[in-house]
Order: sequence, then structure tokens, then C-alpha cells
Amino acid sequence: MLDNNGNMVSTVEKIRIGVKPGGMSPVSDMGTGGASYFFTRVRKLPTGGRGSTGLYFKKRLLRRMDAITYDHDAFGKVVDDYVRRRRLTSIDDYKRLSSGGRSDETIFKYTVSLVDEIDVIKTGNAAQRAKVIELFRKKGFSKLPDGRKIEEVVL
Amino acid sequence: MQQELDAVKQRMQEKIDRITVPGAVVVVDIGIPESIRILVDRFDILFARPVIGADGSVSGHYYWAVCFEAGFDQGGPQNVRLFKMENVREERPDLFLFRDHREYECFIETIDEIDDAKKADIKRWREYKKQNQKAFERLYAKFTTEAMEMALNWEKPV
Repeated sequence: MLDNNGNMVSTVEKIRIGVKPGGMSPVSDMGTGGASYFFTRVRKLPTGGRGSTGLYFKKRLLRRMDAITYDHDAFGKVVDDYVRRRRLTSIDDYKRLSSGGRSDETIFKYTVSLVDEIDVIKTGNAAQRAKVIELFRKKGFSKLPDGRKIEEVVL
Repeated sequence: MQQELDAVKQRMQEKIDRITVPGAVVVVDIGIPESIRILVDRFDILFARPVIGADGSVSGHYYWAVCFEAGFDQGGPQNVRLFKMENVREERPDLFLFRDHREYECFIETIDEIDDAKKADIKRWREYKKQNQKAFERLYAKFTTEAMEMALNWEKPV
């Protein structure tokens, strides 16, 4: 990923730009339109050693016009009038989703830039953290475009 | 009670395993012309809950399950699906029908004996997994924990 401009890429976009999957590409959301989207969930940032491991993006991403949030797993469904009827857009909705995670989904069309939009990378332990930091170094990143050091981002 | 529910879960898992061992698909009718077809990597029952009938006795069970789609390591969390399995009907030993928490009608079925393309996909996928066993163990543990948390949240009253 860091070799390819640090972008999180949807299945369809991977196929378009010719990224060869290691195993195979999942295809279940091709018919719903969901395969064109990069998939996330609304969750609270990890604090004080708590929180699941994973990539946590900046809240500002939710302002993207192509951000679509559902309170359920909709298989990325974006056909017909489904988005208009079921999309959540209020801050109260986001707060509710972040505090009682069900199988909600927030999707973004085609790509999300990891290096521009990442807020926190939460790792499972010190060894994993060191590996992630080292990986960024190897790829030439000591800071992110927003000026933060990699060590500040990787917890 | 908990022991009984664990036994019920175990029995359902064994039945599901018989469906998935040769390779399986989950099909979900989400109300558009093309149903969702998931080529199943793993289908794990998370827990079972009793359905209480009108007379107060246990009239059946429902389940929460997590389904890993073949290729989920490339696709991300949207290819690890949470399913509530209500109204489970054993149509054949290799075909179970159920309704999920979104009220979508679903079924899980063994890949057709003559579907050589899908059988080849499953074979290729399993070989790839074998080569990356440790990474997959981590992914299974992480996504199963997340699915369990989400299923328990669905069980809470809104």
C-alpha cells in the first residue's frame, strides 16, 4: 500500500489500476455497487491503551460528499433510492454508532489516502508498533503530510 | 441453560461445517435483481439463543454467526459478514435457509458438484491461506472478536 501512494483502495479501483491480489478478490458486493467503495466503521478513537487494533481515520473524512453511512451492514448497497432513504448524516447519528457498534458501515468512493487521512494506527503490542514504524521508515516516511511524526500516530 | 445453549451451538456448527467443508456459498436476497453471493471461507456460529414460545417453553433457537468471504483479506471488513440466523430451516443436509437481522432471506449451500470453476477457486484460496497461516489466525481472532461484540450489541434493547 505504501508503495502505491499510500491509498486505501476499493476492489473495483484495484481492478481498474491493475493491482494483483495475493489470494483472490472478494466479489459479493459487485452487484450492489459496494465494490467501488472503501469501507470503514464509525468508532471512537483508542485512548489510554484501550480500543481495538486497526486504522483510525480523521473525523473530517465524514465531510466528504461521497461518504455514505448506514446503521447496518447494507453490503455497500448504493443502487436505486437506497442511499437517499437510509443514509445517516447527523452528528448525533455518528455519536450513537460510535458508542454502541453494531454492524454499521461508512463507505467512501474508490479511495482514501492513508497518509493524508490517518489519525491513529492502533497496534496490539510494542513489537507490532516497532514493526509498523519501521515499515513507514523503509518507505521513506518519517513524518506525515500533516507534520506529525510517525511515532505519534502509531500507538 | 448455558451448557444446553453451547451444545445447541455446537450441533449447528457441525451441520454448517458439513456444508462448508467441500466449499459453500451464502446467498442473500437484498431486494435487488442480483442477490448477494458470498463464496464462503468460514462460517462460524458465535452463539445460540432460545426462542420462547407463547406457552413459555423453548420453541426453538436462533443463532448469530460470522461469515468470512474467500478473499476477505484483500477486501477488508465488509467481506466479513455478521448474520443473525432466525427461522432456520434444513431444506437438505447441504442447504439451510434462514432469515437475518435485516430481515433478508438467506441460504447457505454446498457448492454444486459440477461447478468446477467455484471448486477451483476454493482450492486456490485454501492453498493461499495455508501459505499465510499465521496472518490468517490473527485476522480470524480479530474479526471474530469484533463480530461477537456487534452481535451482543444487536441483542441489547435499543
